[in-house]
Amino acid sequence: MRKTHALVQVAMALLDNPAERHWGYELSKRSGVRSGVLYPMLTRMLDEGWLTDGWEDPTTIREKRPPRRYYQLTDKGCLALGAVLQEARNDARFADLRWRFA
Amino acid sequence: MRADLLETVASWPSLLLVVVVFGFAPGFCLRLIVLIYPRSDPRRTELIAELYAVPRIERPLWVAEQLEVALFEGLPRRLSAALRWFARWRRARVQAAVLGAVLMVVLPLADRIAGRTDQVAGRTLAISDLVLQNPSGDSGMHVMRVAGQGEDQQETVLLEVGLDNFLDLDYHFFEPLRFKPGEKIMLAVNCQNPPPPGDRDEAENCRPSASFSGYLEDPALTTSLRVAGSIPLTTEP
Repeated sequence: MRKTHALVQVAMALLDNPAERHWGYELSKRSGVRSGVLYPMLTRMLDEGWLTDGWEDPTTIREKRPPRRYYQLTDKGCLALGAVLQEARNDARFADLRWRFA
Repeated sequence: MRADLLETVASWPSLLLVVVVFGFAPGFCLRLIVLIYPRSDPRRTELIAELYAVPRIERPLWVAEQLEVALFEGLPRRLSAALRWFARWRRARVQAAVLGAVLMVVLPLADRIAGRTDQVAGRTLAISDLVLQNPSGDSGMHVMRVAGQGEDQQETVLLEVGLDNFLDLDYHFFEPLRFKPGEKIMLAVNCQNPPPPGDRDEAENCRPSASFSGYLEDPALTTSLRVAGSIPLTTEP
């Protein structure tokens, strides 16, 4: 997958809580990536096997709304995105994101 | 002037506009937008469910972004699904056409030679050379079968060649293929060419042919009769 600002930002958001479930809108907010960029990226990550997806259990929903789709990092995804971040740390193109690497 | 402004903001049309833009329109537009995705795409339900997580104030813009996602992600998937469906439909149509008019070429060798029955009767046909030609590069299968002379006339496949693998193919048998009197040799061509443009018949679109040479053996005599010929294409329903 091509290393872009959006990918690095999403990688950081996902690796903040690698074991947690991530939701589209919430991930978009935390990563600062527009949903127009985020969703195609999530599809590519699913294709690569970096993420798995699933649906919220309808019995646990209290509000009147349909179940949401969640994304979860796989071990392969943790390694791949970890490597992306590692490379981004030493890449001048991502200098503006360095403050978030800490 | 301030009063006019307040009145305008608090007027019924403005209130209605707010209700439409932040209440009704996002959900309605999003439901239209997700139709761009193929029916089985999980993104359809995902985006609608996700809308409930978006604060109302952000919904109009968020929905507008989904139009962008749908156009760049959903539309290609929809087109690719449509193309796959069209390819399946076309393949099914071709197969149906091929099944309906399988170009079954029957090699009536015995019948061809029957014009010289006095020479053929009781003789074994030995085919030593066989040339298969596929000058137009048609697709499909070339099958040579022999049917026994018993009551069941069980067919045995002697040779099966993919048309895509050759333009000219010749066999020169060290030990000729031998066919006893009464055995029927059949050469079948199952053409799977794409349908020709226009209303041309499938048969016109498939031009493989075969020719052979060999001899007729007579166990009672030491002489043999050389035979050679081409195998014409005939259709068999």
